Amino acid sequence: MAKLYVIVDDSKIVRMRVKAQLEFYEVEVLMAEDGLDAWNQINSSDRVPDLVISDLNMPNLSGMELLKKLKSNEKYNSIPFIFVTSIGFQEDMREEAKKLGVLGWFSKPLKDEHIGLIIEKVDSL
Amino acid sequence: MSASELNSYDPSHLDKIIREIVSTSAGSYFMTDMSMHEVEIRDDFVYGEVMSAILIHSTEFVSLLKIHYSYSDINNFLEKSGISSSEKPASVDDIEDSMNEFANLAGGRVVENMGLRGVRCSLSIPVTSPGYDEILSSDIILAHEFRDYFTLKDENRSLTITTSNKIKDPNILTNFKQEIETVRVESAFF
Repeated sequence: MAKLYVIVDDSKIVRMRVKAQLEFYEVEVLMAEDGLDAWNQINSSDRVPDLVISDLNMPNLSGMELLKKLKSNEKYNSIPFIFVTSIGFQEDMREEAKKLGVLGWFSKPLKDEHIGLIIEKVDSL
Repeated sequence: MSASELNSYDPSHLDKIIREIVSTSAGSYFMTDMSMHEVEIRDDFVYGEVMSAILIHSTEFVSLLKIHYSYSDINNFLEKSGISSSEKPASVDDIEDSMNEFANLAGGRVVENMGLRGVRCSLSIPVTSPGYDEILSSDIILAHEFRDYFTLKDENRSLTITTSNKIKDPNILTNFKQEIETVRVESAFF
């Protein structure tokens, strides 16, 4: 069965771009427009995703809030989580994310080689 | 205003920082090489059909970054990255979303650069606006307020960038002159 990745970003263009980059790797993709949408989609899916790739600043529910919700839920707390940000990952945020068990972070726009690194990392877990 | 007062607010360092960041950001975002050109006619008032604007602000300075563009040029960029095609062109919403994302990316990198200079800045949400509001409300020259104009071109496509900057604390100008390590960390696994 193909792996299931969740892309969370309030920009449709970013979601489409990352989805297009992932096509080569034959993973299934769920696209969510903010943290709340992602949380709802993950909850209503019959599968537990293999990875969440999320923006940091979004309306309704931020990336950090989504991460906290997932990590505090027994069913979802082991889902690998990666942040993708426009503004570099500031030290305090980085430490908080690290403590919560984030797999890593990437700056926007995600390059093809970044996608390759992410796939490799997730496959190695 | 005396020449020395004007010179004390030399805007060239801030202009250079923003130009380099926007140019590099455009290259990675649109996945192409874009060359930088001066805007010959600076009182044209209209540099594109539409613009995406974002505000970078701190207690020491404020910079309004505007990216002026045409829908057809951006659709062309999106075709190149496989998001739209000649059969299925991008919608107006998609194009505006794409350019707001670019403004957010470029503005974010300015904030990041300023952080390395010890200037803590915030970034507004990007907004889309019709492209004809470059009209100056006053012709009085203020030393601590200045503007910059440049165009980035790739083949037949172009973006014109205008900035309106206001220095609130002149001591900040020293920070803009600093040489800093600009190699960006783009990723990290923990």
